[in-house]
Amino acid sequence: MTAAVPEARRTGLAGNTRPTVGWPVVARHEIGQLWSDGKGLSILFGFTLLLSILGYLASADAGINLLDARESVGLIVTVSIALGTLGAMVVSADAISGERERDTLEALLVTPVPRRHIVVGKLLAATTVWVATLLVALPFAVVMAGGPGVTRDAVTVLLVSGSLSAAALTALGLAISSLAWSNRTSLAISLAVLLALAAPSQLPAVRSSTTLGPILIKLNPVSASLRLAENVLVRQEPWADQIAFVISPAVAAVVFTLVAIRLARRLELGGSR
Amino acid sequence: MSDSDRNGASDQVDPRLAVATSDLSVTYGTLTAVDRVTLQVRRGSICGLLGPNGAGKTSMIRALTTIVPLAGGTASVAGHPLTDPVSVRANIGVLPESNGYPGSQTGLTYLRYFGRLYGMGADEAEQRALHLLSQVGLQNNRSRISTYSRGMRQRLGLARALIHQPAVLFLDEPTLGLDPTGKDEIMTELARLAVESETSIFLCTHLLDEVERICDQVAIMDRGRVVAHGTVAEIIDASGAEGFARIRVRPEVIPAADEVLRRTNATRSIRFDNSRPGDLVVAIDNDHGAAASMLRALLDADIEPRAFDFQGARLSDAFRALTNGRTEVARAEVRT
Amino acid sequence: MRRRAGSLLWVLLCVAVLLLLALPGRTSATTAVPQQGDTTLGDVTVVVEPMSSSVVLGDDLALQITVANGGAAATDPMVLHLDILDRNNEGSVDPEDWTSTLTRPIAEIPAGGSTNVSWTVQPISAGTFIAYAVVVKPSGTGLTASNLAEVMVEDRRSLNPGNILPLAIGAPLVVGGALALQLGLGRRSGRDGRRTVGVEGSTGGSST
Repeated sequence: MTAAVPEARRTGLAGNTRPTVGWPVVARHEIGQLWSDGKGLSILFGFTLLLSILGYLASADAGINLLDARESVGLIVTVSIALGTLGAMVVSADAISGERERDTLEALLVTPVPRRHIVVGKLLAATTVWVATLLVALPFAVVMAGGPGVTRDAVTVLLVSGSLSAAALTALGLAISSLAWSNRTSLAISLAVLLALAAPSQLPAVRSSTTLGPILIKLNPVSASLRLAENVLVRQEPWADQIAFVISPAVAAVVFTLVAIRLARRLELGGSR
Repeated sequence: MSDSDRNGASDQVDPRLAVATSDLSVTYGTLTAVDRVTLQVRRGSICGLLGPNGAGKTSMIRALTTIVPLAGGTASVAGHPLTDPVSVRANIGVLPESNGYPGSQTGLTYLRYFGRLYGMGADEAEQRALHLLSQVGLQNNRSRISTYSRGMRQRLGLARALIHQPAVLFLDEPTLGLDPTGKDEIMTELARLAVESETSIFLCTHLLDEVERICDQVAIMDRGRVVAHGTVAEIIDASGAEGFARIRVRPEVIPAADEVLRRTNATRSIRFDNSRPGDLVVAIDNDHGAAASMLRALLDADIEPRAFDFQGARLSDAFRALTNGRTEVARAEVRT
Repeated sequence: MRRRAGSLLWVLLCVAVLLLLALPGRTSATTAVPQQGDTTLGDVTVVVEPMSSSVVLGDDLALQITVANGGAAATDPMVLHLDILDRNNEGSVDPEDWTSTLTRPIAEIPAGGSTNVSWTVQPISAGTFIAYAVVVKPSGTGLTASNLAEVMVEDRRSLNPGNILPLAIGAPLVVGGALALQLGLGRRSGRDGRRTVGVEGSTGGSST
């Protein structure tokens, strides 16, 4: 503390009553942090390793006909969607509750950046995890789908169905993070929700049901996305019949994003008084 | 409920005041943390907010910094009512009591980010961050914040609160955990800031001596209410705290001196200091007139004091008196 | 002497019982593999070609099945069913592993006519197998079986199935390398990962 204050001129926002358009700043900063401090790359490395092992085994099985080639493509695409969504959700579930727990939230909340901008910036940052996993998954899908000739379908399913599902769950994770007082609670609830949403598409009772089962699967954004992948890639059903499986992920993406932004207005420190 | 709805309205804002509250209340469920506080802090002044733990100081700061909603009353900060939280936030700097830092960032990255959040361009934020790092003595430190000492982090936090040259600076225990040198540096820096950059400072601390030294206004809170508010002298006067005079006389005249002093109106109590024979410790009214009249009475009785030392009441005495001796006084007195 | 004769009688009796028990099994074994020319469906014949073929594990094999009507009248609609046997292990193979469709409908065949069905199978293990087909009339009780077509499947081991190996190795290497580089650089500059530090040891918060 040696230097004197050079000037008394206020170059800051004293007198400025306009809110700062902060979401690009928050997003840029959060993305930089996510991908420079090892967290993003750790998630991506785990995803890549798992996908590589799975892709190799599925290709080997398909090579000796133990697994139908289309089924192997369907497997890789659905696993990519599920794990990519999980990675993005883990990051978003930490976004607010993590700051709250690390005592860094208050400094952020007293800036003139509207709280919804903070949430939007963080949401965009978490979404980059899905984008990164998508960039890893696409080459696997292209190589494996080349054999059975479903490359275009595999890429489209990943881009459309996967992105919608990831957007919905990332926003949901952020909404949960806004409400949860502790990071552990936020992560636990988010993972539980993801499991609860993914499970129905795998339950025999739901799969075989001809009445409630199909409705449940279509209403649930995660199971709808996974079923769409199966329908298009394995069963070779036409895209025109899959609209019902796109609606719920799209609606969920919009609704959960709006909920997360809406909850931003009620952001509180929690815990200490 | 919007921020505006929750923070109450203040129709008349006095631009000469850095902080003005009227019947401000903050509640958490059934607990009333701040109870109808009315307070005014002039622009450019340093206001010390004192009080024992649980008095409501942090809640008061969080209400004024738009972090927690008001349960009642009105308030304005830096000339903006709390009903306009964005304007308030744009004009205040805050260093919270528990301030975390992203350990993986450097100090420069940290400050630059907050500069951008306050609407600065990239270059401006960079320059401002470098200037502030230099100001708080961290200009040569390029390492990550995780390697910073506690004092360095606190100085970085202060720099962050100043990044946009706020009109009002709220500091909640800024010297907590710092060594004596670190405390002196922070407090001296605050005093300089208030004078040179005309920044009003709202300081919540337990360092009563430092408050006495640099604050021109003091508010003492207890159980959610402001029990005293004014200058340090006004607070001490209002508290009715006693001054103390230590008088040394020849041992053989002690009984006479005791009798003379007890007849003096200013004397409240007398005790003998057994460790130093001949010393009398006299509690008297807290003004120099009382001390002078006591001295005059001794001289009139042909009792010549060998030594005379008058200590007026301190802020800590006033604090103890106003808060019924609860809690923090002991902590303040054992500070290093 | 009488005791020895009694024991011999018991042994003969046991052998006879065992033979009686074994006899039905042998009979069913002979009927398990239908013989060519078993024309219980009138004059319908089924031929699977090629009679003998060789294929490498992982490759597809197209079996040509000809259903011919040698009678004077048109047949009713029928169902063609394909089955696979493992010759070496004398056991049956789950034909669903070889093909996703086990039955195909055969429309009515006019007198003297025939229908060709191409049935692509994907062997899933090495060995010698027998493929045969039967036609049945759903409304009837009889069936007509085809010849036994021998399929020899040659084993194949590939380290690069579907050309995925470069990607499966390369992708984790690239991402893992980037992560190692990042962590290494971070360690060198004295950082401690994602840790966030506070001024205080705890979150505090006792003050109100």
